[in-house]
Amino acid sequence: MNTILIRLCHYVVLLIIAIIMLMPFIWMVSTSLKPDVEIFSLPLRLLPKTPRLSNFTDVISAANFPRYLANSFIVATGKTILELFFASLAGYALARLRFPGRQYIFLLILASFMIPYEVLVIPIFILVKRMPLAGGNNIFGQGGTGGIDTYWGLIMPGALSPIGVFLCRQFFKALPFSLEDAARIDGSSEFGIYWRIMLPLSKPLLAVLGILTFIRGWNEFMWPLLITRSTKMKTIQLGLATFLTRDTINWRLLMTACLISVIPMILIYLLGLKYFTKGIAFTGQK
Amino acid sequence: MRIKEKTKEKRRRLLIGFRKAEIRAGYLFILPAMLLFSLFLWLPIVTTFFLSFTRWDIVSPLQWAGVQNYQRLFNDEILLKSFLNTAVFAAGTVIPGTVISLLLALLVRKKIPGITVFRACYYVPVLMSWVAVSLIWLWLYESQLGLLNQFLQQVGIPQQSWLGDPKRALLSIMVVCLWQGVGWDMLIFLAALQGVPEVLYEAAKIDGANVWHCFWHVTLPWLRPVTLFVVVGYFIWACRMFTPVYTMTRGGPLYSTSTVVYQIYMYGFTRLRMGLASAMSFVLFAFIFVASLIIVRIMEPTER
Repeated sequence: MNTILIRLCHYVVLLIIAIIMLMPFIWMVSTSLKPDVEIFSLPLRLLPKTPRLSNFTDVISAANFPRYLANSFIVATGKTILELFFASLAGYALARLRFPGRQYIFLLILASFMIPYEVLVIPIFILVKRMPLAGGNNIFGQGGTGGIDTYWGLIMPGALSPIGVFLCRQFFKALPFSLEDAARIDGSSEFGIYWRIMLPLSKPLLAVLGILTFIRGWNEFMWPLLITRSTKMKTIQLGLATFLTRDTINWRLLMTACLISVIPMILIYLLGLKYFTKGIAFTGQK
Repeated sequence: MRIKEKTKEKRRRLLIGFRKAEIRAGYLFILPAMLLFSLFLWLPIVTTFFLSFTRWDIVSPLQWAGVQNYQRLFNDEILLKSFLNTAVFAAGTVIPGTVISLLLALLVRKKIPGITVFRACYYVPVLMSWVAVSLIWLWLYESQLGLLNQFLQQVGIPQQSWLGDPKRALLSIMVVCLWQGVGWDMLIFLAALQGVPEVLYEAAKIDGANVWHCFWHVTLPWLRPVTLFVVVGYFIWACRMFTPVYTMTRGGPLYSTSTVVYQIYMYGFTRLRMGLASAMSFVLFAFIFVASLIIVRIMEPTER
């Protein structure tokens, strides 16, 4: 009897906290389904009296909104591909290949965890602007605008993170010994070992890292704010912020736009949940 | 005899060849990562340091300014207030954040039916971008129509100005940030909790420990390294705060929510005072670095 009571209390507490955590989200969904009349009338209701989906069509047909979504998708995908490829390559090398200095290099990358990119935006901005032979620049990086307002300018900085390399290294370190030796004797090149043996084994790692990087790229705000100039290069996060600059905020459209920008992230998370919870299954040596 | 020596020699050469290939591959594989880190992490730190002694707006030629920027930093009211706000923000979110994340993790630890749903619910705010989070809370905090004020009115408390009151605005933003962030560290604590060996609890129970003893003498000590990681993580995260300030209050009212990174943006990118902004950046970087070391020292005094 006592255990049942405790278990019940446990669920009640879990539920209360869940409501606190989800209420803002639920309220956003509720607002996005209401017409203006209901949004501005009191008392507030959770469930709309006259729900409608036209808010969504209003937002999507608003100027440039699909473009913003596409830009965010391109940037997030670009960062994910770069991160997955280069972080796994470096992580594998640091974990399994023996070469002089690898301990120091790993420590250096580890220490770089703590560096927030916000304190580096100025030199990175200048670097992107003065990138030689880009965006109208000559070989010394002068004359044009470099990578400003381009996809490369949006994607490259911050594409690779020290945490990514760290996670990959930890993962590869946990694989069974001497997987590679068998492959070497069979005549495989070092890159071949990485490409044909290590990568296929690291699917759970790549899934988790890929999802985290994609979300990071999609949600990024400060850097796109600094590097984009024209409307057509803006990402969805910048696009949301522009709904604010009017004198009177259109809450109806703003909340709907917010919801649209958040849905892809939730979908990706739900899809990836399987990989987050799936155990890592090695097949060992074949 | 000769044949044996010949094959030994061949094998030796083969193994040396493998080693050489391995070393070559090692350097080659880390090259792209090292290049990107050098360009976008390590070089920029040095550049920030040098730029902090200059006066530059990108279009005009670079001018040397000595320590003028630093002098301005320590004498400007608004900039000093921004540093103070950032420090308050850090102090006010690190401990509550760590405690709440730990409590949540303990709450969702047991594999009772439906627990994965609750875990996912607590993580949803983390998935949302700072912009989306800020906009939703801007709507929730709205004076007349915001959900929060309406709810308070129902229970008899008068409407409050959450973001318009200089004494309250920073706290309001801190609540938003905590709401967004606790889910992430909850997962970190959860992962650590799931690694506690059962035998430790069994041994404690044999010695007559109750639930509280188990927590205090088994769970907490086990969580020490992870807690340090979480605390430093929160600290750095708090010092970086920009987007909620930009979206919700633009540093106001009366600079009560202005953070260092916000001022870096204002001075560096709206007024093109790159030198001054670099000085702020470097001071913030040094502050984060030193403070992190101090935190580690405090929490991990034993040398291993």
